[in-house]
Amino acid sequence: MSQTLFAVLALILATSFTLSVYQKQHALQKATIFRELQEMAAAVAVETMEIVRARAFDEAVVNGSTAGTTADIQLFSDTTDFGVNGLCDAFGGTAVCDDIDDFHGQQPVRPFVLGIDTIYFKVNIHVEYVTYDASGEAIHSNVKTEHKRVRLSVQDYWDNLDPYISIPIELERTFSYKF
Amino acid sequence: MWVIFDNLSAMILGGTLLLMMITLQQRMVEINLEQTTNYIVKKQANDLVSWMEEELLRIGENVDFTNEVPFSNPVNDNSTGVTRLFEFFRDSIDANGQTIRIYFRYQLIPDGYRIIQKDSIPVYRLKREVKIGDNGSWVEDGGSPALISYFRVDMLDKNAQPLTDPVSQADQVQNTRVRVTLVTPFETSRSQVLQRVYYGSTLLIPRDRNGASGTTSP
Repeated sequence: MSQTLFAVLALILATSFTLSVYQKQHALQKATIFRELQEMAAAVAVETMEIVRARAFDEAVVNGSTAGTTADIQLFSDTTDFGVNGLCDAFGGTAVCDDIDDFHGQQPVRPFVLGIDTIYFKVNIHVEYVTYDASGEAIHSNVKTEHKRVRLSVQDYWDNLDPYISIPIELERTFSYKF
Repeated sequence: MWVIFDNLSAMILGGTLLLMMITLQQRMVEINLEQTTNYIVKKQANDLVSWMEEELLRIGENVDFTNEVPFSNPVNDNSTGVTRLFEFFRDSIDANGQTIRIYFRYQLIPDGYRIIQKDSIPVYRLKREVKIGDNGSWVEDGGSPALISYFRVDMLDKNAQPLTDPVSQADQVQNTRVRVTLVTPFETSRSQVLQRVYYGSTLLIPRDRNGASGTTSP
């Protein structure tokens, strides 16, 4: 009887050890895929930021109504006017996005192309005015300033699946108007 | 004979456990091997892109873009999509104010195939060559291990779209985009989940741009 009990115990221990090894392998593989997706998401974020960076600081600059003085700040767009209707032309849409705040609220799906492999990432773009506190940190501003902060959140995008990157990759940059 | 029959169940059980242990041991070796190989390939990829990024970020440094185009069109292979050749230069100014032009050339050299999970993947080695001055000669100076499975350089416009003829559209060039993948040197495990290590970056070309925003901090 005792022999059978010991045998069963040995089998339970061996099975549990086997499961833990396979769990470790699964976790490792998951972490490896996650790391690579993060790398791609970061590349997509940088590329999207470069698209935003290529635009003018504000619509007032595009219109040519600015004079290069601090008075220009009053000519800048109100936060309520941030964003455009529809998808920006830079992302394959028809809306003209020629200054930074036009990109506010955009949610393009952008590809990471690698030969025959393509993985898609959804990018959320948020634009806001910021000011700098005494410690030099950029903080949200309710009034217009000469600084606009662009925050990108990137997650992998699949048709019928949840994103693998559960917490989005974020990239922030502050663009300043040159007087 | 009676010894065998008396201990038959114990022998079956012992044999099963022994087989389980051997399988597990083998699987753990595979896991560790895969982990180590992935780490090394990732490290090699990081080393490769570190110096490449540094050089590409300085394309056309101190060059007057209105008179010269500091890069050639990337030469791409139509069937595989990889960039086989890319040349660019920048000007270095020494303490005496003398300008020295430095040319760089990246050449992708085919180096056989890797078989991973029954997929035959062509691999390449990146050869880096440098030329100092217009009259200098090309000297091989570094490169990558023969683990590259994809390498692509694109010159992008302000919408991050690749330009078909960047040299003649130089005024539209905004960024250089690099995509690199490296494969592990051999199949590391029966259930190897990752065949490639990926890298991508979009780098700003240093030049004056009308209308574009700058990044500053007060």
